[in-house]
Amino acid sequence: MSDAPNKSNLRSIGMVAWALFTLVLFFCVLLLANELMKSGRNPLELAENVDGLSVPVTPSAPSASELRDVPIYVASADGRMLLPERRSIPFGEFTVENCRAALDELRKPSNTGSNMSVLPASAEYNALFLTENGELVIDFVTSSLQTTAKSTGSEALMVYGIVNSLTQDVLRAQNGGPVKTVRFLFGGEAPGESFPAHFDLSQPIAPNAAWILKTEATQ
Amino acid sequence: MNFWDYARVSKVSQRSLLYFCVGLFGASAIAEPRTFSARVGEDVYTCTVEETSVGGLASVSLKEVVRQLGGQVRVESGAVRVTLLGATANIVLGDTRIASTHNEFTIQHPAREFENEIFIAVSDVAPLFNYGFKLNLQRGDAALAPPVTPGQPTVAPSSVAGRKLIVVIDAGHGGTDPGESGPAGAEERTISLAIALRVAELLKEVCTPVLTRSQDQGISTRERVGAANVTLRGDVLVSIHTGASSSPVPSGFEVFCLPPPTAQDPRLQMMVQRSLALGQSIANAMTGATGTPARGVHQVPALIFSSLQMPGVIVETGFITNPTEEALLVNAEYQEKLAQGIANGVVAYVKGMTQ
Repeated sequence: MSDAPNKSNLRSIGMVAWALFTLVLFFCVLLLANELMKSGRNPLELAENVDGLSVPVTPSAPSASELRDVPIYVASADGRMLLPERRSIPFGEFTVENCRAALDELRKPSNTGSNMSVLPASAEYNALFLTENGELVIDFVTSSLQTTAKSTGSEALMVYGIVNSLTQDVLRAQNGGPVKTVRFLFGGEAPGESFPAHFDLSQPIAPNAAWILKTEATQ
Repeated sequence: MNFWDYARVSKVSQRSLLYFCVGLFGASAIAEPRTFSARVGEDVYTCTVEETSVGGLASVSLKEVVRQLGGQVRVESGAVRVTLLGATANIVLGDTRIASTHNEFTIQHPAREFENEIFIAVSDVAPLFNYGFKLNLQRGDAALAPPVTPGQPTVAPSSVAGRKLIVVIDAGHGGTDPGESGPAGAEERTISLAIALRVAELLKEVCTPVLTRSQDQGISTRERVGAANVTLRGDVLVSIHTGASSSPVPSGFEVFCLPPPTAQDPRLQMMVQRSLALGQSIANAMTGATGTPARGVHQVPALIFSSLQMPGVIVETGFITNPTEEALLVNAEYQEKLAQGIANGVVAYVKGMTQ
């Protein structure tokens, strides 16, 4: 007589557990899709391109090996203005990958002996991602920027050197929209007063052509 | 003893209690009409408006005063634009600072909005129209008397609302924050303080210079801005620093001004314009004093500008990372030239503003 209610209870518990599991799985998928979209990828397009589940998708590995010349900005020898320098970067399918490659180039010394790179060679970042609204977020490792000169002028050159380089249309790939602004984070947090000590990075920064030296090449 | 007993014992009149209660709960019409009058040449301006208590403060309707004086008032998202006698004054509700075509000054109490009406304290009516529109408005009908004879005292040059312009001189860094240091060991905090102290000294006769720090002490940027806005109640801010670079090559001085406004706020736009005017004036005067051309006058979203409520500039007096310039920056004679240049620039700006 008591077997029927027991079976019914067990079935109910099983159904609830299954529903909960499905719900958790659904949220995991949503979170994953959200993360992919944050890094400038379209999860639906990725799903179409994936040939089975065995193909790994790593955000940092460029999916195309084509090299392309893009301008990045370095500081002039007198530290007044920004000058474009052409660098070859592996041009990928995702805007954020191209930005990553350009950011890596910004750390390298200038092609000329006299001009200066806007980022020290020691500069490292924890994360780089592109939001839907065109905001490129760079989370720098704070300690890696300790050697940067701290004054309003030098910080402005560093910030606008990065922003003017990474917001260029030439970095826009077929996946991911254009970069409109750059938001700077340091150690995962909004900038404090220690670095940068003078420039206000509490808001995303838009490109500023006023810092680019007007030459025949830039006009 | 309850409240009413206390009121009776302490001889607080019922009328005063009524004012107090009304003051607590907002605005209410209480008092009598107020008359203001002014004479500009042969023209006489008068207005008679009803005094109202707003938040316990005897106030009058700004719209009504302006209307009777023949001007116009436009209210747009927290900002009031008054046009009168060919001049315009921008008033931000809740703020005591006024920027007009003629002047930039402060009134005692902020203008307030209540039931679609803009109220201004009775005591602020004359200063607003006198400094904002050069009207020489007086309480009562005194202005209906014969015209003022020439030679009577007017607003002195380099003064705002009857007082000298307050120039906040901010010596960069200090205390545990030395700022940048040069190859020979010179520190930005010491250089900036030495120059700031001299600038303050040189400005004494013309303006009211106030320092954010007068000794080697650490102050955060937020504290500096707070002091400039609230404690020191400055009219303009000049922050003194040195430049720095990862290379020993860059040299020269540079001036940084408020960035272009992001919102259509007339007061902000005027602040930016004045910041640029001050920056250009300082750059020109420093060129004259040192014989070296300025590296430039740039607009940047600097931390110190982020909450600043006055025109401000940052002066980077020279590159401490350049060995030759480091030696100059610690030299008292060169510091005097830099200080003289900054002070001359501020004076030229002030004179230009009050003319």
